[in-house]
Amino acid sequence: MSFLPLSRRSLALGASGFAAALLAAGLLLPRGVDAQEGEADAPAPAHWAVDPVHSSIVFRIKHLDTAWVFGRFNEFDGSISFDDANLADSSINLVVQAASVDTNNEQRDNHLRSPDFFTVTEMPTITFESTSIEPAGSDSYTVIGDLALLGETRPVEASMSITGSGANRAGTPLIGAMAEFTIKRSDFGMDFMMGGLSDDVHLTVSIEAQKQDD
Amino acid sequence: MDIGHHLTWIVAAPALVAGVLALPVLFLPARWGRVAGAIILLALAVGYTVGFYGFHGRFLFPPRLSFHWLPILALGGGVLGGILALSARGGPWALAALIPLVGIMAHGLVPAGPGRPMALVAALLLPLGHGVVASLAPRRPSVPMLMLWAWLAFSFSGAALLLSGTARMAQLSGLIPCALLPLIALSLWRRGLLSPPALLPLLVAIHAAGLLIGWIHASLPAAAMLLLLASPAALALDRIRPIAALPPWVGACAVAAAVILIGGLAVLICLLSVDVYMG
Repeated sequence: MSFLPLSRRSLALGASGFAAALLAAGLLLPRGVDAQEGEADAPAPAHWAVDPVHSSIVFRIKHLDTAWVFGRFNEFDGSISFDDANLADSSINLVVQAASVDTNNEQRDNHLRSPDFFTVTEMPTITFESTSIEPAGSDSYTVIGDLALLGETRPVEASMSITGSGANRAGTPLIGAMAEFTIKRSDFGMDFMMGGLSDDVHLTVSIEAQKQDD
Repeated sequence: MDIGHHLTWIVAAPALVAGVLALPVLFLPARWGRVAGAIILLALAVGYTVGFYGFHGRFLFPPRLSFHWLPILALGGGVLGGILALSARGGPWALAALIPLVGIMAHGLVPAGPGRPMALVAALLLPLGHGVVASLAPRRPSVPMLMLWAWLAFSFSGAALLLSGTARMAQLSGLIPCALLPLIALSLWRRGLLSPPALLPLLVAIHAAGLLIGWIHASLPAAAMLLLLASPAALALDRIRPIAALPPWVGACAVAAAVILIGGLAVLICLLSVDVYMG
């Protein structure tokens, strides 16, 4: 099913109601229709645009194997095509401006923008393009995709959950999702200060997206 | 910080590799002096390359980022320098050989974006100017003078790059001085092994590339970069008549003082203009 505009009643149900609606839609598929046939008949997934104001991309990395240091990217954009009944045609794309890295310390942020880390003048964007979305439980999915960082593209696997749904004041449907995954920065050639900063970087992507008119 | 890793790959590996590769020149007959010069150049380039890739722990090829081009420049400079050593030509040939190197470097250095044309012109002109200064100002720099300049210039460039927010480029600045150490020792053992005109393409390309990366992609002030690029002009000091008439050590001191003055000024500019992060 697509994320069709929700009635005010269903909006009041919140996330659990939304999940129930998704489940109900799945149950209401005609009996005897196999998955392949169902997918063939499935409408194209609805398109959603990431709302950067109400979304966050946060990362944490361990300093001197002692404490977690948190940072975020303030500028990013993205689009989602999602249909719970047609995951094969669903996709998630994100484009992050590397220069918007923010660790609450301007000097450190400038260092992160330098050739020691993100080299933002040469590689201004970090991109993620999903290649598959698989169900992983109620409102949960495994998103596999290609993460491009510093010119190196590597597959990553994220655990994503639908966090809610609603509508803004204009009545435009909204959907919320959160994904978590871990990368090894050295896989992307970001190998500076490996002794001081952990190789593992944990990322949390929390997205609120608005439905787009097709 | 993994100091052991830095010492192994920035200090020990370049010196060891360059020294071992250059060792056979001691057994070459005297008439093979030019071949020995070419071997020395290749040893220096390979020493740099081994140190670079060892430091990063992976083979960064094909290059994706500016600094990935540094070992390619070193190898290119080594091959061209080797050819120059074999042909025994002087400064103009070194300059001519520098042009394709600069082209390769510019291709790798110039970022996409609105500043691309300016950066391209700068990337093409500045190293070329550096080459002009290095090869023409001191018409026949002696080996000790050139080594002195290389040691001091790369050291000050490293300090300036560190202050400009790129510790990686600062650390990589140490590769050439360390790789030069055994070669200087060999040249003391057997005079005439090192040919200053042949050394210039490699030294100039690596020095200029490091500074350009710091300027374009980090916070190295343009004034500091230009001063450091102009530092080979100090090599001309020991050719000035009053100084040339004095004992050689006075000339060496004059060159060293000039490079220290220029480099110190560049570092001071960085200290005053860059918001230094030492975390």
